[in-house]
Amino acid sequence: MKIIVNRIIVKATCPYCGCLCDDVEVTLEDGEIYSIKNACPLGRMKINSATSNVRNLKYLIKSGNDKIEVTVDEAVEETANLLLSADKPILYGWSNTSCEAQRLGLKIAKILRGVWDNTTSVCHGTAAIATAESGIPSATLGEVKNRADLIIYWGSNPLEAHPRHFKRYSYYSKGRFVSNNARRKMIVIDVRETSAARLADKFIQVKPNSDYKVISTLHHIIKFGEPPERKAAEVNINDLMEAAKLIKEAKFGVVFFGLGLTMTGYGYCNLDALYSLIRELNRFSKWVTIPMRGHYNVTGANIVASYMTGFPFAVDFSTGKPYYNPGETTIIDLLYHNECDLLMSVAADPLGTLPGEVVSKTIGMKIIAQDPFPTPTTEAADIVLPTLICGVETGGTAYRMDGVPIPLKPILKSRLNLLSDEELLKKILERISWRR
Amino acid sequence: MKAILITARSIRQGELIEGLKHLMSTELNFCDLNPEDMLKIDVKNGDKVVLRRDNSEIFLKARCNPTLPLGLVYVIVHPEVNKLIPYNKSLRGMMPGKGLEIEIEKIP
Amino acid sequence: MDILIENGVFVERIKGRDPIVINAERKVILPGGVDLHSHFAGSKVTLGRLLRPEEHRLRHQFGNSGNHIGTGWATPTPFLCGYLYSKLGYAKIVEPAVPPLKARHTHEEMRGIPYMDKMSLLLLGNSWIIMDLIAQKRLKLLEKYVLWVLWASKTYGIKLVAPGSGEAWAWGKSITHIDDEIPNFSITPKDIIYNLARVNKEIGLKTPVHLHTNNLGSPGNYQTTIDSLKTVENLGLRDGDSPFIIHLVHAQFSSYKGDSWKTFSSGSEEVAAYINSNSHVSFDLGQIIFSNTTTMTADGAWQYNLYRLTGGKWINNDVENETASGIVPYTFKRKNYVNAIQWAVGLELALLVKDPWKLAVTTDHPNGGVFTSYPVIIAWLMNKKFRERTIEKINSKAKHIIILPSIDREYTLFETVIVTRSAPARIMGVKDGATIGIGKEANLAIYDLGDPERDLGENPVKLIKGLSSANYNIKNGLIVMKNGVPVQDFNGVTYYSGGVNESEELTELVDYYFKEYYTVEKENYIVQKGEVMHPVNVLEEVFK
Repeated sequence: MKIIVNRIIVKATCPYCGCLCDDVEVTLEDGEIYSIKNACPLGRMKINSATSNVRNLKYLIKSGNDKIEVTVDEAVEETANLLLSADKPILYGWSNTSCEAQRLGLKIAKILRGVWDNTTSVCHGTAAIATAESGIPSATLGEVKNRADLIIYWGSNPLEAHPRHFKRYSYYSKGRFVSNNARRKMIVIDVRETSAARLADKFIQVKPNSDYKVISTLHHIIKFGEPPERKAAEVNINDLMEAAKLIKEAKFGVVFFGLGLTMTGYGYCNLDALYSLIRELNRFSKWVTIPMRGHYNVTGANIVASYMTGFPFAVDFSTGKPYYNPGETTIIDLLYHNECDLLMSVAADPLGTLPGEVVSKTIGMKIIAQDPFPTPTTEAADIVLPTLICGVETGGTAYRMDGVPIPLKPILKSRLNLLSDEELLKKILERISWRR
Repeated sequence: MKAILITARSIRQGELIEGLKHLMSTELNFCDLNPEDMLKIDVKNGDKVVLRRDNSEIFLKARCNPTLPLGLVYVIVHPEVNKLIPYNKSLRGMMPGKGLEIEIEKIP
Repeated sequence: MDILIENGVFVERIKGRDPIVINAERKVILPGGVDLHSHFAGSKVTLGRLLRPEEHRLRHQFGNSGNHIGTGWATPTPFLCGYLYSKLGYAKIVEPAVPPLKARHTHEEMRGIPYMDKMSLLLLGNSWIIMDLIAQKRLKLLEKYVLWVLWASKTYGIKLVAPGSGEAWAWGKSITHIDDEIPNFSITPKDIIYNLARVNKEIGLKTPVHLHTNNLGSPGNYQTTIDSLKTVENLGLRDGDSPFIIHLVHAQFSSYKGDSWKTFSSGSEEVAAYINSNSHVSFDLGQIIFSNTTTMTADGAWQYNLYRLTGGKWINNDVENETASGIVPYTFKRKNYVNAIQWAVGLELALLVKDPWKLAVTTDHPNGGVFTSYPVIIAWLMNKKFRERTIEKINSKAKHIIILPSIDREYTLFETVIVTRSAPARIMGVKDGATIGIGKEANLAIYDLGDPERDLGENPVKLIKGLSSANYNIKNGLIVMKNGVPVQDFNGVTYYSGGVNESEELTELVDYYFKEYYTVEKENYIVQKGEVMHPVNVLEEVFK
């Protein structure tokens, strides 16, 4: 019989998606996870991964076709060697780690005159560009919870990517002025009938890559009360007319948008059009829009980079001062045009997530991969730097999708003798500064 | 047959991202098609298909999904699928992961 | 005469050996400057950065060794912000708009600002808990809550921004009269102003309530301003260094007459007359500078109006249960009728209010202009001819209706020291930090302003140049800046107020709002001391 010596319940901030749920409760028995309350399957999996065997356990350096195990100091030394000898390194990732680590990454990139890019460039980068074009009317999620009577999800399926979004912040949440979902309406706009679309009061199906036209058509209907003369084939106009009616009746409306808008068609123009529509709607009632950010601290990465350099992602320090031009200083463009000779990935998997045409260009490049888990990037890397899982085994600060900062907490003490992202980067920074 | 590729996430895919990526190629190796499209390229549930764009191709199993519109292929995003995605200079750093024109056909 | 400094304070005699000697002959030695209203850190500043990448290309600052130390014009990055303030001879700065829910963000940026002591003001004018407690007349509990929320966010004082109007803006509406009822809350903006000013006095905060008036920016708002100030007339004065009951922030934006943009005119005489005849009000200028800037305020409804006026970029970012906010780029133009009058209003207020101890020079950075323009304002105040040179260039219609040309007053150097150092320090309750006296904190700025025997106001160009870059900035007895070059790293303290207590009633109250209305847990709302750069609580950490 097992005798339990010590059972405690710890509050955790879930380090998975942009919802950054901070009401998760983990019961520990003798330091081991016994149960997890209030987490979705994604968060549960992430927290449990602390005890998984599939982890990067050793500091590895490539030698011939093999990787040999080295000490942390040797790994840091070799990392500093590669970084210092690189002509133009790119430091990429940063969305699955703390703001403290992100700050160190920026300092390293600046010293090296390299590039600091973030996964934003291939997920919501277009939304950031559109914000710089025209600005975004937004609010924190609690405003939606307490006030929104019309909720629109556009190109986003929270049931698969942000499972607790409905319950904590939107359709199913209870707020001060809207006490239950009977008093809310939901419209889902997507290219296919998603699981979220099935729960919606109204589902509007649009043709792939046509969102810009649909937003513009909707804007026209809102403004003039009738559809534009152009015959729109990308969407059912009656559906759109009905949606416009619901939109005009709402007291407080919100549009949550996902990669279905940021990644398709005309890219940032989709968002420019959406923001323009939201501005127009504020003439009638209150409207806001909030991006459905994927990684738990991708918003933090944009915030940290903005206040450190002025720019949210894709910051190129090669001229000695921060320079930002998405499409030129973004990771896929730099790799595709062979402009960088070293890729350091921190808490991300560029080789597993970037387009094949871009990944093929990394063959022969020096790669340093810092990650708690094995990925295609760590597999191809010249140096593998294992770390603790941020938000599970170590703490820090992260920003929710709406820009609310929330502390990450170490839930349990790791069984592995590893450093956090922050500690490891600090060592690398010290080594580089000393060597220079 | 020409079709539009939509990649998207799922709960299971989300579970596999952190630490279990090696399972993706076996667990997520399917693509959803409208039944009419399946007839058109003559595949049944579970038949192997090839998705092609320029010189890249990937092999997946077809899965019937009547809620999908015609001409759309829906694949759960994972490293294998990204092989089809091209570089596009005009997207200001973004990758064209959704709404990509591809060729799909049955593997005999 | 020698000024002696040891261990961070002014002393009568130096005990240690081989002190550093600075020859400040024919230089002007002033206490370190105090900026009591400057938006330099936090969520809205970063959103401003996100909105305007073009603005970040306007200023790149490199250190002496060629290292890039920061970027940005209206929203300089934290290190650059500390550097610029230090170069200007400043020692203490106040971030005046912290949404409680995002206080952690403000502290994260403030940690990166070197050289300066920092304070911040908490946005409480649209807080649900506060409005509910006022409506329920639970005023003792209100005092406890205010202390708790200041402590939780590690902020220093209370800021009211268009009280009640932020809540209305959450529904896309605004409140134009301080006696109008706030939607869904059976109270008025006046109730909020009165009760928080009273609470502020009761709980002994070191600085008065800072008020951004309702109707800010709109023609005819001087009446709202005077009405708001009258609301707290009967509260008497406060104890301590800072006797004022209310501090009117960026008064320039709240002192307009007229009923439309066409009839827009200056209300400075009325507002100055009120301030001259009452002792409970202090204010800062919010002087505008003709230039491009990024406006940012918690007054969301006003920013929407400004966006509609300019038709340019607009960010809105409301914070649940607490405040609104908005960001709009703006260019103040000499030839624009309204802008020209706004320019005059700020200077008129400074010249018409007789007692310099009641006011502080600010631009409401970056709303009226950037803080690096302060020396220009000093030159306008000290030199009538210099003012006239600017008046010549402004909108000709405006030129004829402003009263500024008829004001002959010129500030003495001594008066400018009061309005940039002593008065703001006194208003903020940190007088000792801006006093040259034995035992006081040794914050000094040494300037070369030319021949001190002559009238310094005579040559405004030299004056501006001299004030823009201190020869030395000495902070807590350390030389941190010499001729615009950082000498050594130094991080100032962060002052905060408030405390916790054991009251069950308070716990119950706060827990209820977190359970029902907030989207974060209470424990994550509280900023820990470890997240703050050198925290110093000016009140008791635990109160009864």
